[in-house]
Amino acid sequence: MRFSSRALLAVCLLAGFPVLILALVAGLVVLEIYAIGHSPFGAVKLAIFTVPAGYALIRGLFELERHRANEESGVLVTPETQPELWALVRGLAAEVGTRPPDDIRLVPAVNAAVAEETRLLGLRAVRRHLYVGAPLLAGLNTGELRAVLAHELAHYSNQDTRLAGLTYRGERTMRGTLARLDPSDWFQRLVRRLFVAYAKLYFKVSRAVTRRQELAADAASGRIAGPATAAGALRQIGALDTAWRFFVNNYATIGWQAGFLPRRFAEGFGLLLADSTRQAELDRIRANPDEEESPYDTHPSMAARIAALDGMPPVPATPGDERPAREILRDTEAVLDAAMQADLVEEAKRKQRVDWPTLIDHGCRHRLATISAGIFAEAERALGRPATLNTLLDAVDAGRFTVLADPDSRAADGAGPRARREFAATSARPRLTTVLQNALADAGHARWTLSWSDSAKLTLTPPFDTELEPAMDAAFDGDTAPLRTLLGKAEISLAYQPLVPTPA
Amino acid sequence: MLSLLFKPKERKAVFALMKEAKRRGVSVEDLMDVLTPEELAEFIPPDKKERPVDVTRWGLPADGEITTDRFFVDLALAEADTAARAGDWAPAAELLAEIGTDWDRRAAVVSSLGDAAAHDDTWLKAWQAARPGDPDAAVVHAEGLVGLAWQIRGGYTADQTSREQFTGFFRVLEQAEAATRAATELAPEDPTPWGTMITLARGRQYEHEQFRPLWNELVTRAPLHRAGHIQALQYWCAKWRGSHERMFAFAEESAAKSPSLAVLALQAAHEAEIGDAPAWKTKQVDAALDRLLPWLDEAGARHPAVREDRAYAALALVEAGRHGEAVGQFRKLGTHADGDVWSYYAVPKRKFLTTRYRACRHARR
Repeated sequence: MRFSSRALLAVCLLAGFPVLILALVAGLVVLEIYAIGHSPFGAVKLAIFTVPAGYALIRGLFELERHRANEESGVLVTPETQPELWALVRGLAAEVGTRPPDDIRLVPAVNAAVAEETRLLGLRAVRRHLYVGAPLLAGLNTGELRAVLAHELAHYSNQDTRLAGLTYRGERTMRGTLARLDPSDWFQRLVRRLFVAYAKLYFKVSRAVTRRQELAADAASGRIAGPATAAGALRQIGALDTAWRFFVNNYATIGWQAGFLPRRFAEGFGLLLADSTRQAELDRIRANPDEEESPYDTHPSMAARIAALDGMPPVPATPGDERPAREILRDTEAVLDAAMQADLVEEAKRKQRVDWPTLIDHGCRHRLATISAGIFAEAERALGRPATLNTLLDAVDAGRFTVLADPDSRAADGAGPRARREFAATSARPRLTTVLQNALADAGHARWTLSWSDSAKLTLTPPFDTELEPAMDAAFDGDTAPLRTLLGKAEISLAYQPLVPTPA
Repeated sequence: MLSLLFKPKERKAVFALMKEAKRRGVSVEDLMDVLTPEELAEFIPPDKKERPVDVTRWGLPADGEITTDRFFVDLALAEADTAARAGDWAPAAELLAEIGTDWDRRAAVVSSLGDAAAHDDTWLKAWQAARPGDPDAAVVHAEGLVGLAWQIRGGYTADQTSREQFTGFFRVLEQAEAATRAATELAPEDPTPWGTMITLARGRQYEHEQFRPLWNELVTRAPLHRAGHIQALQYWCAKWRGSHERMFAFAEESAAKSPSLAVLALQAAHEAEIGDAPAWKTKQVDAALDRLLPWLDEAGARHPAVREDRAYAALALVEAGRHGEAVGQFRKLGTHADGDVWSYYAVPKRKFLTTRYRACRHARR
C-alpha cells in the first residue's frame, strides 16, 4: 500500500475533524462552567447560544456511524446465470492483479463503480461489489466494456477503495454537521463558518488525491484494453449519459402520469441509439467531451482524462473488441429490461405495460389533455363562469384574448391598449390551438406518432390537418366562423369541455 | 429598475424598500409594482451632488412646475395628434399632405402619429378605409406597428424581457416589415418609411450586410435624415448589433455632416456612460456642443427636434463641467421634462430635476 504525502494529509485532516468538533464542544463546556461560577444569570444567557450549537455538533459527529451504503440498487447477476460476464470480470481482475468482486449488480445508470465494505476504518475489507450500468452494456462495444471494467477493478489493486470508504464517510460527517447547524442563529453561523473553512481545505486536498487515483486507474485501463479503446469508452460514456437521460425523460416515462410504462425498456433504448439522427447528435457529444470540471466531482474532466490516454503508447487491438458488449450477456433483452427498470418506485408496478407506439400516443394525449384542462380552468377564472368551446370562441370574437391568455404572462410596462391586446393574442393563439387539438383527439381525429429521431408528431386526420391553421388565422383576424364550421365537421359540440384526466 | 437599486451606494434604498414592504405586508417585488415613480424616488437616497437647490434663483421654473407631459413645438402637429387620439384622422392627413418634402418634419409628425396609432389604431383604420392606398396613411401604419412591437417588448434590457414579450415583439415586427415595404412602394420618393425600416432592422437583429442596403435607401433619399441617423446610432450600439467603437465611429461621421446631427456625438457618449465607459469629458463632446449650441439658436430653433437636442445638450454640458451654459439650456427647456434622454432613467422627472440642481450649484447667477 503506497500512500502519497497528500493522501496522508487528507487522512490526517479527516481524523482532525472529529477532534475539532470535540475540542469546540469542550471549549463551550469550559466556558459555561466558568460562567456559572462568576455570573449565573450570564451563564443562562450564554447557554441559549452554546447548548443548541453543542447539540448540533455532537449529533453531526454520531451521524456517520449509522450510515449504510445502498447496496440494493439494480439486479444481482450470478456466475451461474451470466458465466461470460463473470469470466470477463475475473480475467480482468487477474490482469490488474486483484481479487474479483464478490457480487455484480446491473444498475439503471450510465455508471460503473466499485464499492467495498470495510472494517477498522478501511483497513480490513469484508466484501467487494461491482456495479455495471445496464445502459453501458447496451451501448458500448466489448473493447470499451473491458476498458471500463479494467478501470474500476484497477481501483481495487491500487488500494484506493479502502481509503475511499474512509474519505466518503468522513465527507458525510462534515456535510451532516454543516447541515445541522442552524444558519439563522448567529453563534451557530459563526461555528459553521469555521467548519466550512476546514471542509474547504479538506476537499481541496482530498480531491487532488482522488483525481490522481482516477488517472492511475485510466492508465491501467489503457494498458489492458488499449489507450484508443479506453479513450473511445470515455467518449462513448459521455454520449450514453446524455442519451440515457433523454431516453428516460422523453420516452420511457412519457406515459407515467397517464398510467403507462413501456413493455420493453431495452428495446426502446436500443432503437434510440440506433437511430441515425440521434447517432449524429451523439457523434457531436463524442467529438466534444465535457471539459468542465466540478470542484466537487472526484473525477478530472473527461477531456483531461482522454488527453492523458492519448499520450500512452498504442496497444494492438484485441480480436472481437468491435462486437457489441450486450452479446456477452445471456438472455440479453430480459436481463437489460430488468436492470433498466430495477430502481423504479413501487408505484411502477401499477402501471399498464404497453408497446412503444401506444405508450407515446397515450402519454402525449394525456399531457395535452392536462394542459387543455388547465387552460379551461384559467379561462373560467377569467370569465367568472363555466367555460365551453363556445364561450372561448365568443371571447375571441369579442377580441377578449385575455380570457385565453396565460394569466402569468404580463404585458410590458407602458404598453398601451392595442399592445396589451396584441400581447394577449400572442399568448392566446397557441393555447387555443392546444384546446382544439385536444378536442380533436377526444373526437378521434388526432394521434401521435412515435419517432426515435424527433419528438412525437401530432397528426390530425384530413381535412382537419389542412383546415385548422387557416381557420385559426381567420379567428385571430376577427372571424371564428371557419373554426365553428370545422368543429361541426369533426362532430365536436360547442358545449365541449375537456375531461380532467385522472391517472390510470 | 431593480438593477439600479443594487448598486452599493443604493443599498440603503433596498433596506428602506424592504422595511416599507414589511409594513405594507407585501413582497418587495410587489411593492416595486405598486409604487408610483414619485413614491419610489423617495426611497432612493439623495446623492450628495444631487442635493436640491432653489433653481428659481437662476431663473428656472420651480420644481413643482415640472411635468413630463410633452411640449409640442409644432402647433399643427399638436392639433393633428390630439385629433387623431380623439378618433379624427382628417387633420393628420391634411398636415402630412401640406408638409410635402420637409423630411425631418415629416418624420417627426409620422413618429408622433405612429405612437398614437400604436396606442389605438381605430382612427387610422378609418383613414385607410376612407382612402385606400393613401401613402401617408401607409407610412403612419408602418411606424405604428413598429411602435406597437416595442410596446409589447417593453423598454428593458433583454434579460428583463419575457419570452412571450419577445415572441409578440418579433411577430409584430414581421408584420411591420411587410407594412413598411408596402409604404415604400406607395411612396417611392419618401425616406420616411426607410427610417422606419432602420428602426425595425435593429429590432429584427439584422446582420450588417442586411442593414447596409436599407441604410443606403434612406440616405440616397435624404442624406441628413435625422430620425434615421438616430435610429442607426442605436443599431450600431454594443447593446444591439454594434460595438462601442462602431457606435463612436458612426456618431463622429454623422456629426461632421451637419450641426443638425451633432447631437449623435452626445448620444454616443451617453450610451457609453450608461455602459460604464467614461465618455462625457472628451474633446469630441466639447466639439459637438460647440457646433450644436449656435445652431440651436439660429437655423435649428425651428427644427422639430429642437427640444430633444437641448435636453441632450443640457445633460452633456453639466457632465462636461459647463454648468453656466447648461442653465441656459434649462431656461429654454422650461417646465417640460419631455426629452428622450430623461426616459433612460427609472424616474425621468427626477433625473431632470437633479441635473438642474447640479447645473445651478456650480453656475454663476
